[in-house]
Amino acid sequence: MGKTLAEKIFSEHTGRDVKAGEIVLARVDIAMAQDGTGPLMINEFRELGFKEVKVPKAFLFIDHASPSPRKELSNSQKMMREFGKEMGVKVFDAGDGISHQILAEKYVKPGDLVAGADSHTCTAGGLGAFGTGMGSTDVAIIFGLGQNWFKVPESIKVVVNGKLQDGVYAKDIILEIARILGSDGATYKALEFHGSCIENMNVEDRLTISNMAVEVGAKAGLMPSDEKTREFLKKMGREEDFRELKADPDAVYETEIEIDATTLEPLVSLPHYVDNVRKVSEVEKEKIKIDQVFIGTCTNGRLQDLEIALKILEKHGKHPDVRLIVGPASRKVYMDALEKGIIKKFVELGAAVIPPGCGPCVGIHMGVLGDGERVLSTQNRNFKGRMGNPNAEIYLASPATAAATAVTGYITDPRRFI
Amino acid sequence: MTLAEKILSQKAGRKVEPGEFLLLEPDIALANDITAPLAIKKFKEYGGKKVKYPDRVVLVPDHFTPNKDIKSAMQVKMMREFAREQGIEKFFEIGRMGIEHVLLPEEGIVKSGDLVVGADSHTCTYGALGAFATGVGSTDIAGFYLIGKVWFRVPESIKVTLRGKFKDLVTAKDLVLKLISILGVDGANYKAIEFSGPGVKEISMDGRFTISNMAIEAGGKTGLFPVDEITIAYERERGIEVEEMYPDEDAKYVREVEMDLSELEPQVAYPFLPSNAKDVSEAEKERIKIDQAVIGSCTNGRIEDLRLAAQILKGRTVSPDVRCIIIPGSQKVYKQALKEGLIDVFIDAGCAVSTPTCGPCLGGHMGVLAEGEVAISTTNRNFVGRMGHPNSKVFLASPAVAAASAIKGYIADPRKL
Repeated sequence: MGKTLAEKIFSEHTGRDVKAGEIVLARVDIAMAQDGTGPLMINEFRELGFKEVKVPKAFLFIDHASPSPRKELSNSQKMMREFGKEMGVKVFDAGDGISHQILAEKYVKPGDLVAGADSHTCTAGGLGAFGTGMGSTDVAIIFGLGQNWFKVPESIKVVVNGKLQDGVYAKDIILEIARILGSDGATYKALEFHGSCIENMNVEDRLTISNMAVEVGAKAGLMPSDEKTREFLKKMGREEDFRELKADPDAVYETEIEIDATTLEPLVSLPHYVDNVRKVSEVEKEKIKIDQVFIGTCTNGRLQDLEIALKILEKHGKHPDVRLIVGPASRKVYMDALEKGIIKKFVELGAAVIPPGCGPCVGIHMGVLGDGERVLSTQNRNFKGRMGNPNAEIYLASPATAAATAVTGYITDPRRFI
Repeated sequence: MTLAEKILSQKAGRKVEPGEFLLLEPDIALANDITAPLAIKKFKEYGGKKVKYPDRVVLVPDHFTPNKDIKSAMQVKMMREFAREQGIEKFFEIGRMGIEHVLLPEEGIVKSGDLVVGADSHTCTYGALGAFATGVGSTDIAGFYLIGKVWFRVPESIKVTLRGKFKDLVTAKDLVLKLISILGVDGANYKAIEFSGPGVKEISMDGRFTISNMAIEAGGKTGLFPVDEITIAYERERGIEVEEMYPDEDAKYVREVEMDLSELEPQVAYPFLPSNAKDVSEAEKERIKIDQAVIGSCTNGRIEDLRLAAQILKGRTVSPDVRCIIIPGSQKVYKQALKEGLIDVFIDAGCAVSTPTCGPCLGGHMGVLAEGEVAISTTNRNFVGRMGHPNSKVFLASPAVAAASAIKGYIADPRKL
């Protein structure tokens, strides 16, 4: 019987053939923690008596509160830097960017097992790696032992066929998946993506989709590793990291869902649940006024996201009542955007361009909302209080919808601006 | 008359003397996201319904923006709503926003000869334009909202005569740090500091803003420059026509200080007072390790400051042990820096570049220090806990010294790179 991608990757990491449902001890290739979870992870690591870091690639990212907004956080970050020095673990600091983006740019290889003390570690699935979020204690154990226990997940086959209309993007696909499956529809399962739409999609878009796998409860969101993956790795200067990796044709899936990309419309997720998804064309009729638009994050803070948004805003201008915050996902994205003149144009448009980091998405700083305010964000979560204020509303959508909304001041279908 | 007496006399409509109390109508009243909410509350408490001069009111949410928490978001929301309700057009939303004291001159909101009050101590910055500008309390601003007037005491003046030319990599910041070390942090309490002499024309507008900005660090009510051809050119770029203004030859001063620009060295002000300045060549010998370098603020966040920092950082890399945070003072400064490729230099060197904000200068956000950490900063204050933890330390310096230190990892002389 054939294997799913998840089964293949776990088989490789346990040295034997494993099947969905088994509990296995697997070696981990890449482990990481960020400034929210890193301090807990480090305390556990020390309490467990570990003296050295055994995982082949270990990283610490200071991306959630960066540059630090409070002295308590500054102290935690200082502790991470000290741990990094002592253990020889690389620390990515203020200005470097968001963990998941940096991992995708520099380190993740198809077939890797990646464990991070951050729920969106599943982003690595965009490169055909099994990336999953775990608790700080689990990651401490991986730092110390280089392995941990996992349950090999069942897989849901998600087949996306056809070509997206203009103005519809990868973000809309994953919002459609959230609508279909619900926020717990894939709990402890892997999503595995198939179909012509996925095959024709670049890795940047695949990262957007994999990033939100956890929003339906999934352990991972796995993309095939194919020529598109090779292209991306080549662009990142590490083509040698490429290998083809796909599920066997006779692999067994728990369920299968199909999406027709050609009929898909721009979607928006309404407060306060990611799966509260509706068509933008319908929501637009309600003229929902937006105070702030945020374009960025590990979901949609890549160069092409900024380009798509800018194209709309450049042509139509920003509404004076909307605060527009733009956050490139990494130093590389920022550099590339600088070179292309994108940052300059955003600044000219009246956007606040923030240093690469998670800030507003997690409500830590750089764009916390006031009571009764509404934000439309390209991020992955809209839970009550997510962006720092329980008395505010968060709407999730693609960079194009975000840009169209910044033009009009209310939630707007981007198709009429394209 | 001194410059301060000239401006206040003009506003009073008669010749005034130091020590007199006056009730005057300021041209501009500024408040920010910390002080405006207090002023608005007081205005309402006083029974205020309609602001007397909405066109003179400026509201700049710059300290904690983009907002760092609910409290700060609510404060800005209050300002935004007040601006809408009162028809105040000079509310600067993020995206248009800059650090207030960079923004107001740049936008031509403040001009030479103006009387300006601001609920922020560094309002004295506009003295560089020959405006009598001073920091007041939020309640004073509330009073202005209500009746359009604020009381003043005409200050005595200290004359600082400048001569000579700066040596390479010595800047206005070094001059003002040296001056504060001469005067002491209370040496100019309730006095105006007035700059004159042939050295004045050696100092650009950006440099003058840096100097006037720190007048308050010696206790000065304001720090005034004459209005000369450099000021006139700056104003003309903004479509404002002003006339030259110099103090009278027989003006009376309570103290006179002479400084030779050519004798100055780059300075570093040690914790915990801006007056603790030493020559950087001395400081360098101590190998003071730094964790963070901040280049920005109302003191040194203008284009010339970023150019100077980029000149030092170009083709070099920030020490792996240092976080170097660059904060353009306004969107215009940011745009200009982008146009000139300065931001590329910073990102290449490993700096974090922020949207304009006061942020780390006051320990607000965007680079708060941890316990035991040390920063070098181009800001204006290094009091205990100013940039974060009470057990952290801040050294003040020019953008050149801050950039050189970021590269070396310890406080370093930019001339030796």
